[in-house]
Amino acid sequence: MIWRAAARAALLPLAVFAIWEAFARAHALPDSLSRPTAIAAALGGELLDGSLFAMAGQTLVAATAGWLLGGALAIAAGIAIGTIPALRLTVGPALELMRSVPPVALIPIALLAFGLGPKLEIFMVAFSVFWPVIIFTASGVGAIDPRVLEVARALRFSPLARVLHFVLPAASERIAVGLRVGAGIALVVAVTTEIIANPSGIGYGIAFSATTLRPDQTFADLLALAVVGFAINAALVGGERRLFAWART
Amino acid sequence: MQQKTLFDTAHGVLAHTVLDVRNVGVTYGSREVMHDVSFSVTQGDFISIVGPSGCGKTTLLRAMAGLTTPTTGSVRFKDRDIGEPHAEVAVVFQDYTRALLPWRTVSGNIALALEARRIPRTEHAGRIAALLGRVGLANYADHFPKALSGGLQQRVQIARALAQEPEVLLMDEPFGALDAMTRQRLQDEILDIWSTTPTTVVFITHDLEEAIYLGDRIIVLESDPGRIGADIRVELPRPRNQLTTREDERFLAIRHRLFGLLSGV
Repeated sequence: MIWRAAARAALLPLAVFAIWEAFARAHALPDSLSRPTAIAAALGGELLDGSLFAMAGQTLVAATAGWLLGGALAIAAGIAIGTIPALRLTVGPALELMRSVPPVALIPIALLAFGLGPKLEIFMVAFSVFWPVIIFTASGVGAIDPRVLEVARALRFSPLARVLHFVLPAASERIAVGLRVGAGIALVVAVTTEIIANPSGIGYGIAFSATTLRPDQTFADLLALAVVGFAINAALVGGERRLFAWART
Repeated sequence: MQQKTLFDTAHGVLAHTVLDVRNVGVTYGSREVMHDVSFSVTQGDFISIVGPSGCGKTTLLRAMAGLTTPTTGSVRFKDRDIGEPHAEVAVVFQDYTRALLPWRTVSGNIALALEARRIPRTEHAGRIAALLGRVGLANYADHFPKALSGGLQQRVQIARALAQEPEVLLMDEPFGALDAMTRQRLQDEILDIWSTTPTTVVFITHDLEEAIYLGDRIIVLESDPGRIGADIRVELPRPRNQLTTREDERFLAIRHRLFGLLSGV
């Protein structure tokens, strides 16, 4: 069954590659589009010399670091905003305003602050991930059944224990959705930053190969990026399924 | 063994007042929902509080639990005002689906009370096993609440309250949402738990027969605003029996009286 599904899923890409290859061989396409056999060769070369793994590793490390940093800060801030009404009223509007800034617009100023390098990329990712996570966290906390908090009160848990044992798990499903949305954004922002301002990772590979007129390598890197993004999402969905087994009985 | 006398053999002292409700009134905005309610709960008693919906039964229980601060008057636990929930006073809520944590198993939900009391982890397993046996949930330790029937879920909540080892158990219409057979079984189980532990029970219900069947004493609340309409002693022998107790002339006499009080006949 799995093989059948896999074969069916491969049908469209294989057809596209075949047509692409045929047109390229007939010189009906510009050279900048390269062609599947050349891309496969470039991919094989980058896999064999390990450069693809090195680039993917750099991107993954920076994106993960920024995702964890931004996510952790956003969960803490979201819980604070969700549980303290006065805080929501005070900082809520300012946060809404900051949220409307497209994160990549911050690259120039972040470049001044952090210079070229992984720090810049981690900051950019953390900033971008912060917003979806804080919004999902605050809405998750706001949706907690008051009875749950009353049970915590009746059992006389301390405020910290209430957050850890009641608020956090009760909001965890929505927090997880925020983190998954944030992971997609993290990859986008990490690669964008690498293309524009941080010479490392897959983003830099894509930019460099294109400017040195090696479109075969560019496409190979794009393919690798697709695989990385797909794997991240699959891992997060699988993790959620395992973590929230209790919600599906 | 379903017998408790004024002389509490478990403590070897003369029974005394545990909870004292003094002139409690509750006003929400301009609406007075409870007016000057006073009564005291004697240690070891099983007290039923019965009344029509909207008479403030739940408000009264919340005040006794320290979850609501009365507008006037006070609730005292052994000569001290209850302002906040007290370690010796446990609550069983009516809506078990909301009062249990869905992400914790049956054991995990019971463990909550042990964690709150800072009982050492090493003691948890033994205590939880004993409590599960007590409420007939020995085979459900690792189930999530959602997978259980209403009756079983309410047993989990009762076990969690018992894990607090409270002096007073406040129960807010705990069997109101259950079917008749399950309800009767749980009535007998709660009587059994009460008679074999040194626990005082305050049991809120809108079911007249349940109030008589369970209680030593029935406090009748009238509504608009909630106030005490009658305070009746139930002189029915224990252990109670679902058939014979309910057919007892004294049972029927109290039922007549309560029905008259609550329907305004």
